[in-house]
Amino acid sequence: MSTIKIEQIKKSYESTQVIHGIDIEINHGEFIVLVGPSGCGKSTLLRMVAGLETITEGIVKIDDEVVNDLEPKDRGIAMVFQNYALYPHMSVYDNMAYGLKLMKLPKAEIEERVQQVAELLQIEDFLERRPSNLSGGQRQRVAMGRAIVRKPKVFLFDEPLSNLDAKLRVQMRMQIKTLQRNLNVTTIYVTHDQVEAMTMADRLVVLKDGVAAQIGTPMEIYDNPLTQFVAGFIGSPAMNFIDCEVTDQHILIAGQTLTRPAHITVRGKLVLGVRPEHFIESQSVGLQGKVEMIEKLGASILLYVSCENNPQPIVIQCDNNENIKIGDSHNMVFDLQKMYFFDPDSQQRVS
Amino acid sequence: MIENRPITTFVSHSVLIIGVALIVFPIWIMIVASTHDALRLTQVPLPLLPGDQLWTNLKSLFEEKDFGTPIHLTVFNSLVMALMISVGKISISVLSAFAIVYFKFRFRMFFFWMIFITLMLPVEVRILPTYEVVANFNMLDSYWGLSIPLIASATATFMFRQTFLTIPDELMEASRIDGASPMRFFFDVVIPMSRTNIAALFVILFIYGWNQYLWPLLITTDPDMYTAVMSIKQMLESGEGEPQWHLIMLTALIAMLPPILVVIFMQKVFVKGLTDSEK
Repeated sequence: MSTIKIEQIKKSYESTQVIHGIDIEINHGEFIVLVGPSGCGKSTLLRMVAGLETITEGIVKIDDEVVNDLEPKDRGIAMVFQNYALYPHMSVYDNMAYGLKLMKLPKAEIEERVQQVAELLQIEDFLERRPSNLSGGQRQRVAMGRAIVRKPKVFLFDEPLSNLDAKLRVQMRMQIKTLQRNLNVTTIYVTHDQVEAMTMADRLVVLKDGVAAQIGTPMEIYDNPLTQFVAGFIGSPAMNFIDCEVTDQHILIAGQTLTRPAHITVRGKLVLGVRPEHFIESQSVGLQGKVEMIEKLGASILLYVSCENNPQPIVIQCDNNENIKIGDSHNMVFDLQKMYFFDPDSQQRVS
Repeated sequence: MIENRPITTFVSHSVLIIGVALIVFPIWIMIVASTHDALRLTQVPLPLLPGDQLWTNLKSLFEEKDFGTPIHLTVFNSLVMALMISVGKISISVLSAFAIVYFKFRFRMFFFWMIFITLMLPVEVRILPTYEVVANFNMLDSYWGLSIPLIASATATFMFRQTFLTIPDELMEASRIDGASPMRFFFDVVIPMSRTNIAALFVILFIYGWNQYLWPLLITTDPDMYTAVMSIKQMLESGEGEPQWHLIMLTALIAMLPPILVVIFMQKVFVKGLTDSEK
């Protein structure tokens, strides 16, 4: 059993504070993804858990033991770095065995453990090679192997897939997830890629400017974003945001007037958020616009529809339809259940 | 760019050949001179082809002479001095560079600049105070006295600092997580990763140590402590008679050999250390 508790953790470099008090409670075996744009403090947070960065304020507990002042090696963690950080002058075997040698384990046990993990990751054929003679994907697996042989209580991943090409990334994504589930080790995973975050996480922590904007399962966050930032960051293609004004009878939107659906109870100047996949084919009157651009994805297409008085084109995902041409006028009908309203000042969701 | 113009080829080859000749000719004269006897070298014109006295000359160099120390002693002294200087310089500078790069301590940059500034002070500038210190430590006429004052090296520290800066920080972090203490990290990761640089520096420092002239001249008065390079000078000034050119040339020839051997045997690592790095 290994749980992690992060309580009111803060980090400052000299006078600039980068993390402003984050609380996360992680259960045993959970796969937590820290996601956010660059500079949001996600790596810093991970490194504080690892012990590579000092904690300015707050407490990190692993298994109810405060680890703030423990050396990384005493925290029972293993980390996979973005550039893998394999020792270039050691063979794959030595890379994986190095930590175990320092733990002063008997030689036979080291060999057994390394062999076992190498088989698990299918790297047993190049145990004698140097990292420089391996491909990116192989290096990635060696880095994971080095983490696994330590039999840690917690895995920490710092953007481990960002140096791989797109196809390999999808493959490794599945492998890491399966591996983690089989080993049942509590994991914190940092990424800026929201697809990675959605597909891998048991729970997501969306970070912005050193604050946890929202914590929840991927679907919770997708269905119920609490702020405009989270709504825009999670989901691909990103959510459309349109300025609007809701009155008792109407919704004034992009210079057009639509009837207010009965279930919308909020009033005032707001930001309407609609995901591209939440438009429906319908004869009823919707927002009018002109198709500006079409992106064909194969199974579906993305329409970029511009409206007068709206600075950004509205992105709509719909089934492949050869009849739609650039320049056509388009009738956009919202899925009434999937409309999100945000306060333009506080960016908070209103409902 | 591929060019095939005979004139360019001719000119560039001539320039190279002239250059090589300029360098090789004095060495050739040296080799020739060392194979003749004293008498032949006083006659004009100087011989351009080797004679048959090499063995005799060599034998007389190894015997105790009234004009100098036997050559095997001076070469041995030089060897000890050069090795002590190069090994000492490398160990000290590699450690100080490690401290400067990997540890945060008060006045870190101050110390770095202090070391860096000494780059501007060659041995000759500080030679009198250094002599005083060495004399007070009773290290005159000893291997310690010959090598210690030359060991501290800003150049090597600076070079190792640059090398260490190219080692990614993640390696240090990974080894911390693996449980390596700083010195373990130093010996298991930093040193192996800079071994080509160490080898390159060793070559340079060995030659530097071997060619020391002024310092050994100052602090050795006991002929048993003379080094090969300074013994050449001693032979020139020795006695009232004519300089023994054939012996001097042979000594110079022998004094040249160890640096040449070091360069030849370490050439591969030397070039690798100066050019690429597998990182």
